[in-house]
Amino acid sequence: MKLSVNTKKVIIIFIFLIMLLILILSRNYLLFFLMVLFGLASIWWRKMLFTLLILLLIFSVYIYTPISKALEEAGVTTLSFVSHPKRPLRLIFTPNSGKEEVLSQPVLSVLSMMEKNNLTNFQLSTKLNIDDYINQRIIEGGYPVIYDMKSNFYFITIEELMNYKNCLILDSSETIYLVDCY
Amino acid sequence: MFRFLLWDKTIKENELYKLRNFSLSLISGILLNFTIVLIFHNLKTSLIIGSCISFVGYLFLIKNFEKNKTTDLLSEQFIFSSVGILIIMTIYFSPIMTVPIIGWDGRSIWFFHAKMIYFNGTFHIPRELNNPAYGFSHVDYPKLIPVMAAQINYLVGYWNEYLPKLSLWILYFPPTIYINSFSKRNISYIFLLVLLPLAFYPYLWNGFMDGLLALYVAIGLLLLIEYLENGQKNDLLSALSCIFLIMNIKNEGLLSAIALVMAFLIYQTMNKKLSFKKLDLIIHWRKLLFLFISISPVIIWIIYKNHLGLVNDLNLGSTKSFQMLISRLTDGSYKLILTSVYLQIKGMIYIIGLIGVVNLLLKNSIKKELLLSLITAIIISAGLILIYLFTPHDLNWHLNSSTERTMLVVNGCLIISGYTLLKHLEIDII
Repeated sequence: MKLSVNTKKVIIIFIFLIMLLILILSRNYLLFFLMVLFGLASIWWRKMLFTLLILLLIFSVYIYTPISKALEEAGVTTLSFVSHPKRPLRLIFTPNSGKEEVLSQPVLSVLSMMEKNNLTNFQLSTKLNIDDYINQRIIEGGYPVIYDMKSNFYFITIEELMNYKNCLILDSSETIYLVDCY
Repeated sequence: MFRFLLWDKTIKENELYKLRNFSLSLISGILLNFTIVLIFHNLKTSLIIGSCISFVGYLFLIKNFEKNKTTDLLSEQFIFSSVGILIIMTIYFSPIMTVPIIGWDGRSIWFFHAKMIYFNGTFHIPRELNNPAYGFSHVDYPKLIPVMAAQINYLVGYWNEYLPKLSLWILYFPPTIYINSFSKRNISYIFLLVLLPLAFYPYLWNGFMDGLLALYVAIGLLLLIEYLENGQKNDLLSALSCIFLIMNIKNEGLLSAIALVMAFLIYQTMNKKLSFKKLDLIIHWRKLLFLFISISPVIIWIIYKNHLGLVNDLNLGSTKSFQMLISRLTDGSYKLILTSVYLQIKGMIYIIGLIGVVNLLLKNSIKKELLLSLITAIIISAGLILIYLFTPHDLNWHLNSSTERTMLVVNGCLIISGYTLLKHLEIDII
């Protein structure tokens, strides 16, 4: 698209002011200072404009995008993998690996009780159901054991034992009980 | 097989396009595999059928390779691009594969769905999909990644918290190949290589699909711009394959696909290039078959979803959602949405402004293809703002928990705008 000289000037000033506004609002005073220098260079130092653009781009990409963090994380994990490949490869090729690194202790206790008692379905007590961090992790971590609202098997907290006094205690961990309300 | 469906004499196949065509074949294969699972449901049956089709495809490929055998040496650019692809994919491997599924979306949505499909050995899992206790898992979400992850675990015969993520790594292959096919010794390529996909961190390898979606949208846009500049059918077909794929990654993909198609049509209308004569690209039966196979997964999934009565938690289009829209427009909540959206894209707006100003100062023109990416970014932003106006959830919670991720797609479009401007700037200067 070819633009007339006046249109071009108006657009440049407009974009420039918006950019300065963005920098002021986000309190990036270093970039603001560099932008002012850039503006002056565009008037008196046109030959160096492209080089200045590259410098400003490097600064802006570093400040406004998370690529430095991404590179750091990729670098750290790659170096760790290259220097000690056995452990990660063993974890990748081992059935059921990784749960201990992701799930909290109460959730792991529930999953262990599910396995030990060969459950195919279960329910959670009101208290366990309220906490999304617990119930969602139990539901997805415990799968293929199905969460079934008609199940006789309840996981309950120690404080709720009195509410389930007619049920048979099948198993327990420190704070969580498995009861059969047949 | 897709080679048979798509190729004609006008399709270019130099070394640069060999890379892009390979990537196109990969995406087409992924879509075909997904379609087979959606049709046959059973993982074992679909794997056998998929393997048979792949085998026939390989036979065609070998036959074609022997027919076109040349003694020409591969160019330096081709070798560098291929080495670059291998290095990048090796770097992606560790953060993806050595960290278990941690992110909420990964655990509760994508790989939980994969787990359901894997343990049942079939895509048809109405008991789970209709279980109210699994409602938190958004069971109505697209199933491309869950199906791929379930197939990988089905092949090895066990489940763990690492291996399903291999599906994510595989899906990073085609975009990486496309990016490397643009390799040149210039600043604009470095800009593209550095920002795509690293600007989408931390949603690249933690099990969230937002980074992957943004990457495919950006690549689709890049290929559409390439098609507008060079007029090569390969690029249009590659862009279409990306558009078809993004519709199956997550729900926002549908919005992005519509935005890309709308922006392309608006751009062509503005340039008076939209004519029915150009439809020769698709009216051939082989290309219609390609389009049909590529669009079928999303259609089958929508039919299946309706059949099972799965509804989205946002309830868009309901009377309540319109009441919410009116209330948010009148009570000033829209300002909160606009601020939240602005905060996510201000960095890229600034970067584009910077390159744009230099473009105007050093050149008297602005590349018109820039409009395509800007129109796409505007349509997607408008769509997302509308969704936030409609949301039945607490607005503050919804904005705080999602704008950082959902706006990555818009940032992807803005990165392509920056690349287009920078490339135009370099043509005469360097």
